[in-house]
Amino acid sequence: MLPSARMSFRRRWVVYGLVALILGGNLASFIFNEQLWPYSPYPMFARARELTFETLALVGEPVDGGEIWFESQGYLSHQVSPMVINNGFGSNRARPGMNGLDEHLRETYEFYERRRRQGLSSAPPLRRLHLYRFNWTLRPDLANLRTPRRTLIASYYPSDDRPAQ
Amino acid sequence: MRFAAAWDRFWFAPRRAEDLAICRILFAAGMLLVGLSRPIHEWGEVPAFLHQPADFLRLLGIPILGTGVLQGMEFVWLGAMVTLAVGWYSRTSAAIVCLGSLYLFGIDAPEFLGRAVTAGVFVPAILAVSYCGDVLSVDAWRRRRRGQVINRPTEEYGWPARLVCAFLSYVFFAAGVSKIRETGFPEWMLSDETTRDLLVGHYWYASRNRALWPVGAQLLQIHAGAGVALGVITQFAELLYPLALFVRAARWTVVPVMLAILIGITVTVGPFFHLTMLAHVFWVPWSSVGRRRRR
Repeated sequence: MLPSARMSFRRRWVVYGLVALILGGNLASFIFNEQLWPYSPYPMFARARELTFETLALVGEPVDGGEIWFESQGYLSHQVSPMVINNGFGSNRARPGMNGLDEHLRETYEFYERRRRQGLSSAPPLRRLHLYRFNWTLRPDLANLRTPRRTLIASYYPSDDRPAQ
Repeated sequence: MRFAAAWDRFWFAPRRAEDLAICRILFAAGMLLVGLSRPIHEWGEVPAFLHQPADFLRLLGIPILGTGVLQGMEFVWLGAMVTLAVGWYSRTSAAIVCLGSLYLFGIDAPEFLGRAVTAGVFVPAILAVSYCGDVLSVDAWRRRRRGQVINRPTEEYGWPARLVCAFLSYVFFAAGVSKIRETGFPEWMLSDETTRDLLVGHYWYASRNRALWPVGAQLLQIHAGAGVALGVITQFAELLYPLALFVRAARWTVVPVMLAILIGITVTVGPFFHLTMLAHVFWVPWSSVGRRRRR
C-alpha cells in the first residue's frame, strides 16, 4: 500500500462532522444533565447515599412450599433483571393499593406461567406471587443478606384468579 | 494559526493501517461475544409495562417489535459483527452494527442499564466512516486479486483511534465531574458511597449483574477506610483520564488504573462495562508492540 500526501479538505470535514456528532452530542447531554440514548452524562454512583438499599422484589410461593426470589434465573426472560422489575412496578412510588399493580402482577404471573409451560424456564409452578419492598442496612459482614425488612405491596393468587392484599 | 495546526495534528496524526485493522478485529470479535450473551429479542414477549426503551424511541414512536422480527434483526446485527471482524464489506458492516446497536441496545433499558454499551454505537459509527478494512481483511484480499492498489494518506488510520480515545476520555471525565456536580468535591470521595457500592452488589442488583466475589466486603472488614481510599483513586483516575490524550506518562499510568478499576467494579459491585473496556484496544499502538516483540 502506497501512502499519499494529505487527506482532502472534504474528507477532513467529514471527520470533524463525526467528531461533532459524537463528542458534541455527549457534551450537550453533559451540559443539560440529561440522558438521551446513546448520549449520557455518565452519572453512575454520583450521589452520596446512606448505607441502606431499598428495592421492589417479586417473590413467588411454589406449590411445593418455600419461596423464590426473582433474581436472574430467567423466569421472566433474561432481559427482565431485578432492576427492570423495580422500575416497571414503580420503584419508590409503589404503595399498597396503588392503581394498576394487581393488573401488572397478573400479567407477570401469566407471562411466567407461559414461559414455564413452553419449557423456556425451569421455574416451578406457583401458588402465589407477591410484590415486596425489600430494605437492607448494608453490613460489611453481609450477615443479613437473606433477611431484608419486608413490606408487602401486592399479591396475586392464581388459583382463583383473585388479586388479594 | 498555531492552534489550528496543533488541532489538525491532534486529530490527524499518522498511524499504520494495521493498527486500525487490529482494533477493528478485536473490537468486533469482543462485541460479538457481548451480543451473543444478551438475548435482546426476548423483549418482544415481555409484558408491555416492563418495557423501558430509550426516550428517543418513545418520542419517535418506534415500537418494540415482536420476538420473531427482533430475532431476525439480532441475526443480521451479529452477522455484521462477524463480517466486520473478518473485514468483508467492512464499512457497511460497521454501519449495520452501529444502527443495530442503536435500536437493539436502545430497547434494552438503556437509560439506566445502557451506559456500558454506548461504545457499541459510537465505535462502529467511527469504523463506518474510517477505512478500517484496508488491510488484514477480506476486502483487502479481494482488492489484491483484482489488482487494485490502495493509496491513502496515513492520517486516515490515525483519527479513528484518536476519536475513540477522546470518547473514552469524555466518558470517564464526565463520570468524575458528575460526582462533583451531584455531591461536591471532595465530599463524594470522602462519603460512604464507595463503601455502599462495595456492599450493595452482594445484597441485590446494582445493575444487570451481582458482585462476583465479596472482596470489597472483605476489604471493609479489614479496614473501614478502604471505601474512601478506593473512592479517592476512582475519582482522581476519572478526572485525570483525558491527560492520556496528551501525555505519554498518563497513558501508561491512568489508563491501566482505570481499566483495573473497571475490572474491580465488575468483581466487587456487579456492573460489567465490557464494551467500554474493549474500546481500550484503540489506545494500543499495535504495530509498535509487534516490532518491539520481534527485536
